[in-house]
Amino acid sequence: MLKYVKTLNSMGLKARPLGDWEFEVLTPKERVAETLSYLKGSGFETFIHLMCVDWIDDGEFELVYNVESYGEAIQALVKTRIPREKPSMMTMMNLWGLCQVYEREIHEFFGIKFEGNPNLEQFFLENWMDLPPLRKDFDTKEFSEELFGFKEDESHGIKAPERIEYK
Amino acid sequence: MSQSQWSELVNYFRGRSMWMLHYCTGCGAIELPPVMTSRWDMERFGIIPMATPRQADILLITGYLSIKTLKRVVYTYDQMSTPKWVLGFGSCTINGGIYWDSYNVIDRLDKYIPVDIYIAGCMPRPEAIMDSFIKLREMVQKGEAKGYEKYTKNYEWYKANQDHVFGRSEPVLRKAEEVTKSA
Repeated sequence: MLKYVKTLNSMGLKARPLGDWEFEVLTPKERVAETLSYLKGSGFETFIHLMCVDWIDDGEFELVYNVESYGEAIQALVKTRIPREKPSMMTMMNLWGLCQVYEREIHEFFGIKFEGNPNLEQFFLENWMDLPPLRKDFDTKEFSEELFGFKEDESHGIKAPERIEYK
Repeated sequence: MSQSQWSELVNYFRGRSMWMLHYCTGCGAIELPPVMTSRWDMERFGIIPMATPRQADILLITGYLSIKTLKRVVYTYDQMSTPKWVLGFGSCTINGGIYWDSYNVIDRLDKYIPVDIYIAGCMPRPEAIMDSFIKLREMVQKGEAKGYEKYTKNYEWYKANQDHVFGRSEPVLRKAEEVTKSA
């Protein structure tokens, strides 16, 4: 694993091991495709997951591409940050066709536009017109009260559970 | 034989042979196999799982319903022929359960289709399900389980509630400046 970390560091990227079987690479947005294609060429042939983290205080979204090498049983997390305003990213479909559905999902729940992805229509939600629901500035409680009409007096005297506020 | 004696007799037999369509949306579905199979064996009460809504008498909703699944549940319920009864299983059907503030899980099933019996718990044990079956049988035999009549009588109210959720034509949270989709 260390040889990959060393090579990635020599490419001018920040890479560090996270444990015995996992390492992370921090890349700028423009170098994600390059990093992923390097990893794919050196054995990380399986695309596992695409995740998105909403760092609302930093005004950024973080995209995490998770790839695995079955041969060596190690995983790599390729992380990149993009601005929260008008977020867009290039598609990775030419590396893994599988990315299409992951990108569609991220687009639906965070509103990130993936350039080059041919189908970014609604996937899980139906008839959704509000903010993408997994963004931190979307108030699920207010939405639920407004649409489903939940009132605390309907809870038969049982106090609703304390809500963990994001701050 | 008078009308009331006749309906009493019909209700007696209705309560002895109820076919169930179980709509397994949530985690509660895992409690059903023991209820159906030899451990608790619901067939001794004349209740068997049924394949299609048109043949079923009971609609058992096991747990939370997202907007998308609620739409299918309403279709299913509308397809069932009367008399039909709905069992709401678990706290999610009562007030949303742990998903009470979720953006896509409904809070009260009773607003969209009439529920005859709620089974409280997260999740209810098979004994509770058996108990609800026996309770439902008693109610049917006494002619008390009339959710389907309530639905027909108050259809406008149920339909308005359904349309409120399904037929949204504008954003729910009216913060125009926030609701500009940045995509």
